[in-house]
Amino acid sequence: MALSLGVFFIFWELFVKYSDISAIVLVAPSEILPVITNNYDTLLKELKYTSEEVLYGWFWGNLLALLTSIVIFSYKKISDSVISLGVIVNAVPLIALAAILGGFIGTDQNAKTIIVAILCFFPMLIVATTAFKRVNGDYKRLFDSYNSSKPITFIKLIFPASLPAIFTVLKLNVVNAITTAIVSEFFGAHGGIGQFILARKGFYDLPMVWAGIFFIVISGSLFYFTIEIAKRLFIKWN
Amino acid sequence: MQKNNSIELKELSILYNDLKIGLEAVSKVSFDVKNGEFISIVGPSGCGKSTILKVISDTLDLSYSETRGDVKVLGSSPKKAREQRKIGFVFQKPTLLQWRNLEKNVSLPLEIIGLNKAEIKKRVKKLLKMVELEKYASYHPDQLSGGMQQKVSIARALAYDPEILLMDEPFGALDEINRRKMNDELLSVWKETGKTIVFVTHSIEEAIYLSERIIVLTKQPGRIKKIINVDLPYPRKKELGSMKFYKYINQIRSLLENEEEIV
Ligand SMILES: Nc1ncnc2c1ncn2[C@@H]1O[C@H](COP(=O)(O)OP(=O)(O)OP(=O)(O)O)[C@@H](O)[C@H]1O
Ligand SMILES: [Mg+2]
Repeated sequence: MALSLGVFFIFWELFVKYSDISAIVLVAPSEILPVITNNYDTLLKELKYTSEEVLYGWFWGNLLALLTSIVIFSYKKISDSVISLGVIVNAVPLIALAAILGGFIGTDQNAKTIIVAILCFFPMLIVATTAFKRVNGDYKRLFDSYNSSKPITFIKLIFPASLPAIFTVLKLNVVNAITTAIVSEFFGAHGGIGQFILARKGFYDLPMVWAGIFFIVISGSLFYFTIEIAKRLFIKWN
Repeated sequence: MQKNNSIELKELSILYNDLKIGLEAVSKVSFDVKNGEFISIVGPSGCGKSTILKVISDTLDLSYSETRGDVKVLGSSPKKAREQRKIGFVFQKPTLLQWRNLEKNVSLPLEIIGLNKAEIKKRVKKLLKMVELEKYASYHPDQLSGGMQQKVSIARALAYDPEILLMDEPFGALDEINRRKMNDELLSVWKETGKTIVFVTHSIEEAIYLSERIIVLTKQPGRIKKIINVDLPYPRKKELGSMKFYKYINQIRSLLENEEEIV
């Protein structure tokens, strides 16, 4: 993992050095590094701003979606229509909502958090509902033969069986949340990496733009792998 | 209901109506299963064997099926028998919970029933010993062979001491040698516990080896073709190559072949 990253950066450095690619498009790592160390505090401040949107939005979006899917799971008609709605929602690039929603909700940090939450909500709602419904057949019959109550069947069978699918979306939503936060910052914000990148791009301060991208990529990866590790702790059987 | 009958079916017909045209899966099937009896059901694929087990265990989804006729389990309705946890079900696949180790898989029904921890521990230990898997108590299902997994699912079905065991092709996925081994173990469990066992299989030989009686069904919609008494002494290992055993095989095979269907 570390090795392949190293190779990637060396390749990147050499590519910029020996190809005649314009500095407006791609900057060598050796130019980015000093920019990062010199502007560490600023970058960290912007990153914190964005990270709060991402973390809270991700957390609440997923949590509310899970709670909602548990509630509607008991109502066959609603959960069926949620699943068929999923087909449509998945075909729509929800990220476009980020632009529109900004106009309704506002441009401050809380507004971004809400937009991130909304964009995490739907994938989780659909996948969790579908996963709950997919636990069927003999497993269901087994629990019926124990005369198990619905809540017990849910806790002991349906929820754990759905965990792999849920974790997949938790990870997917990390990427989703970061993209949403950045993009909605592009559409106007009072802070954050997205807004920072946009501002620096206006000054053609390319190394700074790349430094911003760097920061978000690294912190995003950390977040992603944290969930991956949590998944491995929870799901030992897959 | 006769006192010494575990299960009584009278003119049982089952209709699936989730398709545009309803499908009659089982047609006017009547038979009794005595207390402690080992009975097998054989018949062409799709003749309704699994469906019959689902009706007996009250696990058929009523939202897309219709049942006619009369079914009595231990003197009352299947629903009541299920609510009193009188029926254990073993499926073709072991249906173990992957996130639980063997011990926890066997204890699952006991937890649901709400037994105390000490009692659960005691019973699980005994059951794992019975199926010779004590050493594997902390293993997870994916660390075991299919045969071992199926033994766990049998132990699990016996955990809450149901009076009736329904088994739907439980050894269908095993190779010949393991299947024979499992057959012997099942017979010893049967002898030890005295459970009533209804066993569905595609193997004529397995049915003869295990059961006191064999119900042969026609192709879909399943009707009773014949009920055969297997008049061979247990253990039947010595009988395997015998003339009588062979005669039973031929009898059942020709009953099934008359259906122009491969079993
Ligand atoms: N949910 C369902 N909806 C409609 N038809 C069904 C349904 N389940 C089963 N059937 C049909 O009912 C008939 C009996 O099915 P069943 O599973 O009981 O057969 P079986 O004897 O157990 O077959 P096999 O030996 O292949 O397991 C089959 O024709 C099957 O296609
Ligand atoms: Mg079947």
